[in-house]
Amino acid sequence: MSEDDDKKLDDDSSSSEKGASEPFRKKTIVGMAPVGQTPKETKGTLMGMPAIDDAQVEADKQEKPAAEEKPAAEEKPAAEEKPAAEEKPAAEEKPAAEEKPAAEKPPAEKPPAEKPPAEKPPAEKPPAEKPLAARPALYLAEFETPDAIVHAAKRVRDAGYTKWDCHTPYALHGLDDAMGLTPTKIGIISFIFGLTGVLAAFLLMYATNATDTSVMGFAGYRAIIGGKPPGAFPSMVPIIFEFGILLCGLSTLFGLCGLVKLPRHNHPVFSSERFARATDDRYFISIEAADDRFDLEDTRALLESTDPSFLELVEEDAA
Amino acid sequence: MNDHEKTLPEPRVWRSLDELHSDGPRDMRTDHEKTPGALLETHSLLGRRGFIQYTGATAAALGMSACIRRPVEQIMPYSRAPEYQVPGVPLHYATAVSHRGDAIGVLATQHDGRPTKLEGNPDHTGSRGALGLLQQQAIWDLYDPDRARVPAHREGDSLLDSSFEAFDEAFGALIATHAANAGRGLRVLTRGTTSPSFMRLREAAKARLPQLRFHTWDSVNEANVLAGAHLAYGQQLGTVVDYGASRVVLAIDSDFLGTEPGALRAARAFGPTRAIERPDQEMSRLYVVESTFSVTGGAADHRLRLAPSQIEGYLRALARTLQSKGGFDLGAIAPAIIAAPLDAFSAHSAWLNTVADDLLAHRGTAPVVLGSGHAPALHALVHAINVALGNVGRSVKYFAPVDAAATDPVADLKALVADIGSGAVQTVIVLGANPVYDAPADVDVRAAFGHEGLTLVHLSSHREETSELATWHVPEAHFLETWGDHRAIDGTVSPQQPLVAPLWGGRAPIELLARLAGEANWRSHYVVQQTFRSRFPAPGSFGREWRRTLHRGVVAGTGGVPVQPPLIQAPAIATALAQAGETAAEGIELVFLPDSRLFDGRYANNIWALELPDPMTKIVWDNAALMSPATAARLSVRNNDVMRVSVGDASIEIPAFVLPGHADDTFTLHLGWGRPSAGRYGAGKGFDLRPLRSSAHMHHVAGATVAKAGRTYNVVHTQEHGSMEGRPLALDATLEAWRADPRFAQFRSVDPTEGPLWQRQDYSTGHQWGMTIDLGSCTGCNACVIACQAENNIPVVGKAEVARGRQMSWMRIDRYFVGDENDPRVALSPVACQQCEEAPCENVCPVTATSHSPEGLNDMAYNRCVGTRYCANNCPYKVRRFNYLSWHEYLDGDPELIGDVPTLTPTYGNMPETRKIQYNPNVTVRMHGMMEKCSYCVQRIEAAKIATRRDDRDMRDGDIVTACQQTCPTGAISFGDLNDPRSNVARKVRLDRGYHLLAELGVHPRTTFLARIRNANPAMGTPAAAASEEAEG
Amino acid sequence: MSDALPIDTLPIDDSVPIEDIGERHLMPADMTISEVTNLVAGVTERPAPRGWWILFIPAVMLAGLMFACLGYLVSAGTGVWGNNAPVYWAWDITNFVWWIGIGHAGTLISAILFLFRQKWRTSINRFAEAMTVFAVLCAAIFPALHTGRPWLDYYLFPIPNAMNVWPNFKSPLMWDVFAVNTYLTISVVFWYVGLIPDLATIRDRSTNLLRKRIYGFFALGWRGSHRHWQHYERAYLIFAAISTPLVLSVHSVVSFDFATSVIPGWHTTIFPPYFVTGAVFSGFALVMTLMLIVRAVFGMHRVVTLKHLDLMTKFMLATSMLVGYAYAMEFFVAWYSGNPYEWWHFYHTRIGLADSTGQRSPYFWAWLAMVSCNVGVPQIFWFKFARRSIPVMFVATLLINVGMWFERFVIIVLSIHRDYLPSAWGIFHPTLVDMGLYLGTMGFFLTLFLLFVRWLPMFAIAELKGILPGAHPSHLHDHHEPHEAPAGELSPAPAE
Repeated sequence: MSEDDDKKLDDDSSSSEKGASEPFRKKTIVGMAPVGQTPKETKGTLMGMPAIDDAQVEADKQEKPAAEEKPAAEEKPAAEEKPAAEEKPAAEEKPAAEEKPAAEKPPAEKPPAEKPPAEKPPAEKPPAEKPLAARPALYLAEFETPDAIVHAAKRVRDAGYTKWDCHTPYALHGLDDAMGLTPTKIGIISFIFGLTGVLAAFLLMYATNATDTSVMGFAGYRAIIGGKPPGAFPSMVPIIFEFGILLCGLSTLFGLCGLVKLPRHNHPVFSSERFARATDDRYFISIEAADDRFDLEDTRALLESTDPSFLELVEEDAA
Repeated sequence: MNDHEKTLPEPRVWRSLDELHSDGPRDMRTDHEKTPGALLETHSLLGRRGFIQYTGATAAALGMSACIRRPVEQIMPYSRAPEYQVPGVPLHYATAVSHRGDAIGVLATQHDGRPTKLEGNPDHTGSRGALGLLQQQAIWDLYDPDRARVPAHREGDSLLDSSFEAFDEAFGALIATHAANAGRGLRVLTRGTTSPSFMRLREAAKARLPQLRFHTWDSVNEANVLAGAHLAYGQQLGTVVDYGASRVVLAIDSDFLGTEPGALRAARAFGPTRAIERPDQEMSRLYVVESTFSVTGGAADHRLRLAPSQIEGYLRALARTLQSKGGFDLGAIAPAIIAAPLDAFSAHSAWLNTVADDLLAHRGTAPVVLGSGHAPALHALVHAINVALGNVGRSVKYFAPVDAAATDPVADLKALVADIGSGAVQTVIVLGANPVYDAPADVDVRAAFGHEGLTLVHLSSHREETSELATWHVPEAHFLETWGDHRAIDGTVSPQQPLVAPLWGGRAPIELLARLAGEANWRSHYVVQQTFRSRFPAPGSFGREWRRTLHRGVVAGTGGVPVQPPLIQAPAIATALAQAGETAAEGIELVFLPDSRLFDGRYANNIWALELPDPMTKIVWDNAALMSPATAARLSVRNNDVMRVSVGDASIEIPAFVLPGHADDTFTLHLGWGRPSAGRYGAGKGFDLRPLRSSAHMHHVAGATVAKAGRTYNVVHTQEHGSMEGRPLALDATLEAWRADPRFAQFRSVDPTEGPLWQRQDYSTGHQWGMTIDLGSCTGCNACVIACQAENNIPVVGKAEVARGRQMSWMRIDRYFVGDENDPRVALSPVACQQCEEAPCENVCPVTATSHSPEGLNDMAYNRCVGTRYCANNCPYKVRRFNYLSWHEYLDGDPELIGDVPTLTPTYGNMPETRKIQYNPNVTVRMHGMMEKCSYCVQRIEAAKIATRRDDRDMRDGDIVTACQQTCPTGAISFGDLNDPRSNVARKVRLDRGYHLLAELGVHPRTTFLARIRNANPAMGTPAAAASEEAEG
Repeated sequence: MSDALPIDTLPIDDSVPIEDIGERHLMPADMTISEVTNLVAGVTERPAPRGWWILFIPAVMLAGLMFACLGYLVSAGTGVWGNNAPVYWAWDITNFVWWIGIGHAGTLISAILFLFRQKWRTSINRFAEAMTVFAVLCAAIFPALHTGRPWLDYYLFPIPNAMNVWPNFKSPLMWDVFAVNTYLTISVVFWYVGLIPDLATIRDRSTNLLRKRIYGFFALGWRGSHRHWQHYERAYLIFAAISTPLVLSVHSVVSFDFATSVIPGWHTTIFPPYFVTGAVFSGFALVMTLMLIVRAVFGMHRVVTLKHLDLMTKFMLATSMLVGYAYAMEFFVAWYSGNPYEWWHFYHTRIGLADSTGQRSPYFWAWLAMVSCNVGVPQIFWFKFARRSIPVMFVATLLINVGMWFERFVIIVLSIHRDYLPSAWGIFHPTLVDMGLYLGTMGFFLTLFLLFVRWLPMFAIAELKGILPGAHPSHLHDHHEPHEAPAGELSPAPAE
């Protein structure tokens, strides 16, 4: 089996023969290993994980390891396994983990994110993987009222979980505190790009209309327009303003997508039928198996104690 | 396949010379088999080889189209030594054209063999460098797509295309038969001529065929003038009024600046007397008594509206008044006019007494002029008055007649028709005239020419109304295609030298005459040379003299020598006056005047002329019945109401159009319109007046009855609003007012005293082009408009589009009426792009298609223009023009309309190829979607710069002459470098009557207007003087 | 959005007096969040009602007419319009300004009302934003294709070229290019960001795979994660914050096209605020017109209550009076400036006093039409019955849009058809293509709009839920224990 996959993945991998195949073998091993006893070498790959999700955001910036990880991530068993197993060292090495859950989550969520449904149809899955497929992905607790979920959220937060989330049909006020979220940074992105737009617009207009200096073979042209000074500033104001707004707005959109890691169509929560109501009239809390405090028993107990109207353990590929 | 080969004549297929000369077997199919794709190529229209062949052919064809066949005869560049054609460098040739018994010297510009533009010949006394409207537009006729191209011969009822060979043969036979019978039954109908060759050949033909008789016909002619002079002096004399030497001019129903004989000559002389630069200078004064509102009336200092029937009464009354004053004696004529009733003019007593005083006060320089439409007796009286005023020899000059054998066309035509009717005529050769269209209603030329057994040979540029009856129709060559010569009224003789061989073939009148005269070599070149040989008798001198003459365009030493007229024939005049006498009748009086653009209809297919606004009414593509507001109110008609105008039992239908200042109870009707077969553009445009015009009343007729026809007809004109609304636009003042307040113009149109907030552009160095337009001497004759159109490839858009307000002409002559609606004065201002230094149009162009040159020109980069039209919106002068449709591509005339939306298929078909030959290669031809406007003829500026650089000299004033400036008959336009202290324009912009249009906007126009000064006679106290005060207040 | 929201359990219907409308009664108190979902998302799942087809079919036909006219326009040239000299701009730019103006209500409602915490906007903002996008699309057609050579429009962008010819950034038309494009982009983004959670809702409700895929694709895999909501809300706030100055700037820039020129009637400093007010005015009117239609066709009476309509009529009354002020001020300035050309324009061309030759502008009635529609008609909203009567509102809003079109026509055509030189005066007559194109854009707009209401959530589901009574934890408004059961049937006490 590994031979076939080996070739298949080699073909799929965009990077060089060697680079792609080498980490892939490692992972097949890891995938077979029982939970918790992951060989050391996997750590390297795990550390590589953040690089992977960068790889999708800004593919070109990535150097070899990221490119190498891609095929690795595609190998499902490993993908499911690692996060659960390797979270602790990660947490230790990153004490800042608590402050920025947003920044931390990626490593956990990423591997499944990389699962390309097209590349690996379920039919191809070797029987050996079946048990692995049943690994828990997250607990999903459903609540019926805003108060209930706020109450529950506080409990989960106090329990020290980091890779967990609330799902609500609309922006539920008060959850920020309840989840202990830190304020978003999106404003900074917008501001910086807005400023860039302002400067860019001014430079463009000044260079083309008020100078005849040549840039890359293209020179401005000081045309005499209505006898007015070529570099008249007042006439530049409207365009400076509009262009600033334009870049500010676009950067806000893409900044948002970047920060929330969307689009992503394959989150494990979607495996739960009940979750469909998360966009209708129900409130959910999900605690991911990727969280280092995650424990099938304890976590269930914690969630049950918050009186959810429903509680389920979502498993990988249950769908 | 094989037997198929057998059946075919075997073509000689070879691939190399060796194979060709070897006897080796030839393989028919080798090409197809051995060359991959060859089979396909031979079968597909555009294979690789095919493509290359076609490309080559196309390229060659394009090349050909540039080089029109040049005349085989040697012709002489005017301004350069005869190293012949430098590609891309225009050449100028001197030639001449005749108009109304006078010759006008022309300089024709030729680009690579294509005549593109006509300008005045500075060496010719008739033009002195300028050209009138009609001569300017004449270049278009050369390229008229509807010109007849081959002779046509009648088969049954239809004219069938024939060939010149066939015609020459037939014509030869025709002449032979008449040579046999000494020309019995042979008649030649010609237009009035100024050509010495023509006259020489006419005499020769008469000598050869004794019984041959010549007739002349022109519906607009100078017969009365000539007859008047003959009556006054007992001999043929040509009369020339020297307006340059005149202080006071009294023009009685004479549009001497517009359509009268010698108008160009008059305007050249008259202009300077109006363009005075300092208040202390002397200025001429113009009194105009007229029925319609003519260009001359617009230029008048005092104007009196009179019905045409009153003109005679006024003239007699004036003569009587003059007679009653001291020191003026008409001698034997006095009794004849002593009975002249004055009471009819009691309302205008000033027009008798004050004018008489003014005339007497300027003896010798106070010519009285009478319109050519009036009776010979009156002309004779005017001659007598001029004699009595001592004008003769000073402001009125007489010359030997141009054509001593000239006859009265009306009588002549009548005689011809009568003779045909009596069967005494077998053959009529019509040279140029078109009597079937423009003969008087009571002379039935159509019937006569249709006479059984009559052979009619018609020579004309188009197959027109007369041609339809002809046995043979011969295309007449354009004057730029054939040789000829002309004698100006002052005796100046000029050769008419062609610039191209006839585009479609074509004959000159003198060529047919030469054959009548039995000349072996009847080619115009030879004929004209023969005429000139007599002028250069010195042995061996002919070649040199001939070249010099062609070079200068005039025969050295001819012309300008007036003759001393004999004593005035007072008794004859007295008796003539006694017999003459206008019979005033009830009803409306009609005045028939030549159209300022179509003249007598010979320019009826000239799209420039058709779309040129009438100077006064601004009507395009039509003529109309012009009437005064009072008359319109009395008849309760409004513009566009069609009226049935009847004289006796003849009547026509024509729309009404109100012209302020027109004489009451009088309609002015312009001739030359409504020609059924003028050509694709002119056919059926306007309304034919023929039914109303009888041989007794060629100029005006009284007692017409009018009734509303109950429908309306859309008369399109280009100026919707005629009032200045009290805005300081076309400024003027009386001479007194000016002397009292020399800088009145600047006070009324104020330049901003405060500069803008920003640092103004520095135009203090280098050339800075500027223009001045002197409203004092501008008569609004429209010559500049056509000159601009010819120079700058400006398209014509057609009546429907003008109606929508899309006329394209870059130069627009704004005509405003000032003062009383029924008796206003007119204020003109020619407006083209003002080349503002702080142009509003530039600020708003998003693509920098229009921006300023360092020399102060407001440039248009045509190929950069996307056509947002924002610039035009923001132009306070509205001088920008937008190509809403592809005028150049398929219109150059009306678009067909579906509802009110133009279709893609034009009325007149695609742009004729010939039309494109006229284009000035130095000016971009604009496609649809582009903005365009006056560029101060930037192409001429650049040409001049190149020339000066080549000659390594500084630019001199006068090196650059814009098209409008060049042609302006009164020299109202100056152009040049404002930074050159010696330049004409730099001096004129500092004149204290100079002002900028809409100066208060602070756009700093480069065009400066010189306010018009009216030399009003304080003693008159007529509206003219009053109005100017009111306008200032 | 975090101010107090007292919960009101009384069933409130349209009969409640208008006076006591605070934030409280915008939604009927018996409305549950699942009902909101069903109401709004349900529209996209059920087959379209007959009323929709009755509107849609003619709309598509008109849209076809528009494309036909555009094709003819581009192939034959601008001459197929009635534009001439001196009226170089006529219906083309009139329609442009009109559409752009309409496009302002959307952003105004979504952005400005959002910043001002006007919760009632939530029932109309999605709607209005969509309208904005479509209106701006229609508007953009005109400046893009009114040029004589539209295929060269790229000259208007600063594209490096061998000739080193650059756009002239001094031209207000260039400012337009940037303003309109920016506005279009931001409006689309703003609209789409708002749509994401609701698309997710439809995705999760949809049973057939294709719908799931399509809506899912555009929902970007939204899963209501609160970690996302946190960024999302801030981003939305930023959009609102930048859209507010943007929407004000866009029509100001459009007004610069005229205000910076030299033409009497155009050269007026009051234009920017004047245009913006007019834009908001007309935009609101059209939102309302369409709202009334959709409300009837899809039976949205419980989402868009009479109270919303009432608030909008008041808004229009206010803006119409602002516009009226601008009209009056133009005349005052014309008189006060002492500029004879300005004076002449207003007193002869606009009110139509006869000039010295006894003529009067053939279009003087246009000014009367504009004033009576824009200032006269809205005054009816002083009366309660008018604010409560659907037919009155419908007719009034239609008339207002007619009036606003005439306002632009008066400003553009009347100003240039009689300017400085009387010799250059002209008159404009529209052609069939002019009319076809104008109607066509209406059809195009309606087509897009109907497709929107049919296939997309026409109300902001998530936002509506957010303002339902009891939508937020009780401790946020009164300081009870979080465990305390909040009132309202939304929140049954958790089972012990």
